Amino acid sequence: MKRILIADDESHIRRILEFNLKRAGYEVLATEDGQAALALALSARPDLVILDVSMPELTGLDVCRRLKAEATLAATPVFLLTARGQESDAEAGHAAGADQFFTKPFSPKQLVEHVRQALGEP
Amino acid sequence: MSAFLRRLWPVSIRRQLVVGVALVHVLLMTVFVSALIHRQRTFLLDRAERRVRVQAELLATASRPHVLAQDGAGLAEILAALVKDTEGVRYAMVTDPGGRVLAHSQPGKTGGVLEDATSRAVLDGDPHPRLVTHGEHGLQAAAPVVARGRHVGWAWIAGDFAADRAHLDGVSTTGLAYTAAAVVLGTAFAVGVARTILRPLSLLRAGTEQVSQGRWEQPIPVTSTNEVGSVTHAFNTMAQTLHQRNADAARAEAALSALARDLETQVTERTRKLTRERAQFEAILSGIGEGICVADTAGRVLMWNRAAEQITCVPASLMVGSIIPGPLRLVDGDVVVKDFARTLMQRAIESGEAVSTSGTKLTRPDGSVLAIGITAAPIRDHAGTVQACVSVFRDVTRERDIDRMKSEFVSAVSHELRTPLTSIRAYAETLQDIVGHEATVQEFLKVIEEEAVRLTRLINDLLNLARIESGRVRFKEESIALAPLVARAIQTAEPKAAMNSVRLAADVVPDLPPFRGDADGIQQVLTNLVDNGVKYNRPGGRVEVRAWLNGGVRVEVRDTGIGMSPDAMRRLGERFFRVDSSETRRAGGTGLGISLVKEILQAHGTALEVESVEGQGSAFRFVLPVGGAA
Repeated sequence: MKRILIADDESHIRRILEFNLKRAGYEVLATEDGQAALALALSARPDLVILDVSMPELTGLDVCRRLKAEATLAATPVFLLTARGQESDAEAGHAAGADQFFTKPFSPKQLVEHVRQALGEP
Repeated sequence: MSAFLRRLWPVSIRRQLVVGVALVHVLLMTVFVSALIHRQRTFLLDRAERRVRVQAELLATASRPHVLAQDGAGLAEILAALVKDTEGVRYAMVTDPGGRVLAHSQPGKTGGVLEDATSRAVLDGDPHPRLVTHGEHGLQAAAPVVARGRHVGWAWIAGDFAADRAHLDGVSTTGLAYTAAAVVLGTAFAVGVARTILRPLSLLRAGTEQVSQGRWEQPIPVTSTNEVGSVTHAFNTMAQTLHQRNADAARAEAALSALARDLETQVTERTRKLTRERAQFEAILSGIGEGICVADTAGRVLMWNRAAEQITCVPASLMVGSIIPGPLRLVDGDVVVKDFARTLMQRAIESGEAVSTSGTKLTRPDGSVLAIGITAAPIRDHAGTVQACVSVFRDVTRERDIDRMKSEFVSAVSHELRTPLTSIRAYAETLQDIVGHEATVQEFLKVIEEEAVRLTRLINDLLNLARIESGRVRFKEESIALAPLVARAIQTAEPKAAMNSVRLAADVVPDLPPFRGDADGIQQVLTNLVDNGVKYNRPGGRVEVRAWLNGGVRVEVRDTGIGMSPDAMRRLGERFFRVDSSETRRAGGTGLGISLVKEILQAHGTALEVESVEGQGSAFRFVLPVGGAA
């Protein structure tokens, strides 16, 4: 079973993502801040990471950059979620090495589709 | 001498005429009478001499026998008869050759001897007749008495000229009388002529005086048909002409002075108006909220109004006369303005057009920094030459702060709105998957999801609009093919079109050259227009995108939708304005789509043209500039 790490400070969004991904057959790890997400990623070795950009202390961009800097995690797909949807954010996301970029509000169904594709599942 | 005579010569024509005529008459008559008398005398004298000689010879002949006979008595008798019967003989005598008087008409003289020299000359001369003395006083002739060839005596006759002299005197008297008469008549004639001439002349003179006193009205009466009459006539004509001229001149002068007065009034009026306008102008300039700076082409400040003083905290007394920037500390962008050549005003003067900037910072003397927006425009004279430059500037610090706050606010709001929206949409969508097939529940959840999507679009549009308006969106200038953008717009609208039973079509001319512009911007324009065409349509309707080349890439998005009223067309593009009807509410637009389209097209230097008939559909057109590789 593939393992997915979610980091978002909004509990409702965490909850609905967790629900949809579990329903799609994934194991889900959820946390509400960047620091914990980084620690979990290093310890739990998820197959895919979904990060909210705007989190207190360590932002999604920071976490993404650190993950991509880790040799063991560089290949792990990272999805970024942002509430701003501006070009500058998208550029920053790509610069940080993110694989996908979703602007809130997004469709959970579509997100799950992208997760499937990123993990090479049919 | 001549001067003396000239002084004697009378001045007036009348006297000249009278004196002249009198003198001429006197002179001519005197000469004439004198000549006449002289000729008469000569004639009479001649006749008297001939008569005396003839009588002397007759006496010599008659006395011959008596001399031979020594008959003194007979001689005396002859002599007495001779003197008595013959006119013009004073005395007669007969002498012997030696001069002894044999007989004499005056008996007392008989027996005397002629001793005087004149008589001796005759007695001693040859014996032939001759005149002894000439002239009217001593007329005497002598003729020799010859008998039988022998000279025996002399016959002497002394003529008497008294009768002739009386005759001559009579002639003289008559001549004198005629002379006097001629002088009198001539003078009278002269006086008459003088009067004939001079009366009209004096009238003429009076008329001249009248004219010279300015009384033109009365012509001088023409009393004669002679030269004076024609002179008078000519004078009248001249006076009339002069009068006419004078009247014309007077009229012209009056008109001129009226004009001058009028001009003066006008000048006064104009000056007053100008003064008033200038006062108003200055009041306006000093009262205006914007700082105004007028500088000549060398950058020397000519005017610095009150608002300029207040904004910069630099008084006009310091600015006027100094070269920009003078005491001001200006930073344009990142460059400190040090010389006039760098300033906006110089750019305006060089380009001849109004130039604006909003990126200038001004440091006041107290150290505070302001952002100022400046518009500089050249001032031209009548010939179009740039004479000076006027800059209008204002403190935009607060506006910029507000602008920044606004965009921060919009950004923050959109962020804060997106988070709950994400939850609403995600939960609604997820719920639809898990609650089963209860129709009403599915329907309601669908509404929640759709409204969340719509709210999202609204937020996106708002954000875009705010960014374009604030100038933070930089549109690129690339060379872009239109066809793929049209295809994508149609593809995007396809699901909704299918749902509304609206057909979509594209007709882009093949080989259309690329246009210059921003791909994302034009994509959004096309997407919005096609989306509008689908939204404001009816089932079975049609939306067509056409593009062809005509003075640029011409694009038209035409629909067979509900169309717009003229009023709606006017309001099109107002924020949140939508064609108000039940259909449009059903369509669920944000009311920002056309605003965005307009803003984007404006940034591309083109405008949106709209044509619409209510109930039949609308057409939106715009032209994009054709351009090669950037």
